[in-house]
Amino acid sequence: MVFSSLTFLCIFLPIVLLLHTIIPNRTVQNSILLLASLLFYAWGEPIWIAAMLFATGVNYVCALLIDRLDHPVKRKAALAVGVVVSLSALFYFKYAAFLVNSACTLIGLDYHMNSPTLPIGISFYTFQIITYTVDVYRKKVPLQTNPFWLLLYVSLFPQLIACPIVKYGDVADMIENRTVNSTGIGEGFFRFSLGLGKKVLLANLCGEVLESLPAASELSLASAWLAALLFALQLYFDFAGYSDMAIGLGRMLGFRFLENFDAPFVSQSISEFWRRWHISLGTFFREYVYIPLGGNRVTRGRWIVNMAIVWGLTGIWHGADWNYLLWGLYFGLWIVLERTLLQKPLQRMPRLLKHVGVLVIVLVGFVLFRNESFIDLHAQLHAMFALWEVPLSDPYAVYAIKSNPVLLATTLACCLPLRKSIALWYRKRRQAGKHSLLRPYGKAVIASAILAISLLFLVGQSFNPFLYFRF
Amino acid sequence: MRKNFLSVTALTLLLFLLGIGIYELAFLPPDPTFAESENRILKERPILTLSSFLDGTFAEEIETYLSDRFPMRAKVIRISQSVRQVGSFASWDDYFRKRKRL
Repeated sequence: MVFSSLTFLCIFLPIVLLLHTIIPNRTVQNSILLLASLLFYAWGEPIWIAAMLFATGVNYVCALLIDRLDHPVKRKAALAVGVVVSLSALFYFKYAAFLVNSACTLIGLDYHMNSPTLPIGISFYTFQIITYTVDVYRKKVPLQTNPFWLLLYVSLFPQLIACPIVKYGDVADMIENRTVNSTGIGEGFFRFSLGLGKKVLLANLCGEVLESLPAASELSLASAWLAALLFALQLYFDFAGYSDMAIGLGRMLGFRFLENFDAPFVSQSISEFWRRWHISLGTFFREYVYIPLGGNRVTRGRWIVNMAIVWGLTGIWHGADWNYLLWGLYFGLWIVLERTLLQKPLQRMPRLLKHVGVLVIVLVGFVLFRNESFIDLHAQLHAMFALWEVPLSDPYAVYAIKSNPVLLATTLACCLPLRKSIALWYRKRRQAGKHSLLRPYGKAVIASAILAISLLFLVGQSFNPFLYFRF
Repeated sequence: MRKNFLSVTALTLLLFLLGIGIYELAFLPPDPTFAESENRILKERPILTLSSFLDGTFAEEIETYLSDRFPMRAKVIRISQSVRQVGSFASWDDYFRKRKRL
């Protein structure tokens, strides 16, 4: 099931939320939440629930062994089993076909392996269950003795199939000790509606406009940059929207998840960009890959190797293809440059220049992310930078801009840190003694409006007008 | 009351959404209806069977059904199309039929 669907909004969410709020007994509450989450996951693809149950079961047992055993080698072995089994499943479903086919192309073998169907959310729940096992090993979190509560953590429907990647330690306590109150429901619902709007109204429409632009080989300068911009916006609002919805839903259920995006497009450096973009992924790779590899407390050469590994993995996590790997390494390279050769020049560079530079680098990065075929990639980059060889503009780009002014203005405005700025403004007013009448009413109006308009758009998604009526 | 305004709104909206869902599932006639503007028969209420659930078709059908039989569907779609066009100052005809100057 997806959040931006009528089934979820009109049936699943109201029923689950009402039951969860009304029931006072924690055990019954959690059991209902668990069943609902499993139903949510199984909806549409029931078979793959087995993969998630298997991964959870294996890690539950491994963590139990890690906790009960004292011998350091045995503990490490149990940890290794848990992590390796989980990652092997992820590796098989996601990367095996890609590696096999690439190897065959390299050697010249005429064999093609079909990609197995990917269980939904495997990239997310694999990392999440690993945080549990590793943190039990590191003695950072207590063992979860109840296998159902562990399964609840893994399968919790707000964050199971999408970001943020919630570390076990961040929510361990909330499984049994959380408060469901009217503030949480109100604020959570507001956050959820923001996310729904970002997904249905901003991301989907950017995608629509993007599709109206010419194919890679026929791009003009204007449409190439517009395509890059629209794709970046679509990706951002899709991701950020889903994160908002997850955080909002969690809040309604009494869980406080960490933020996943923090206005990444205002960054002044690539390092800063990645502290603001998909924060939970960066945190995971830092705590569970970068630091175990030695982080930056190693020789310069080894540090560069560490960075290459971490950023290569970051890239490849997003998709099983060469362009994703290169995308990750591309950003890794920029960050290494920022910390070495570019460190002094950046300190003297004016803010605006740094900001524009970051935007250009990021947009080019997303072009790499978008185009899996090197031909298309080359064509779009060529159209973006070979100023003397491509037409400046074309009717599609101009039409796209002129027919979507509100969309473009809204998406660009929503890239700014609005929530933080507005919250800061309210706090200053309150400190100055002026109480805002608007606050609870404003949020309610905004949430209702966004929900209503999103609902309208969702209904229209299956609308296929009979084209001959037009002629 | 003012403090709880947001949560009361949230619960009201959720109940309203649930109302739409229940209305569509329980109170509409199950017979298929014909949509003039789309020249197709709108989805009839899907029946839950073990096989349809296991292969995912039930999930698809329920979503299509909820969308197809949404109350005041035609009006809702017209409004969404008008909202989509808000602020637009170019028409498809101008650029791609009459080949107006850029």
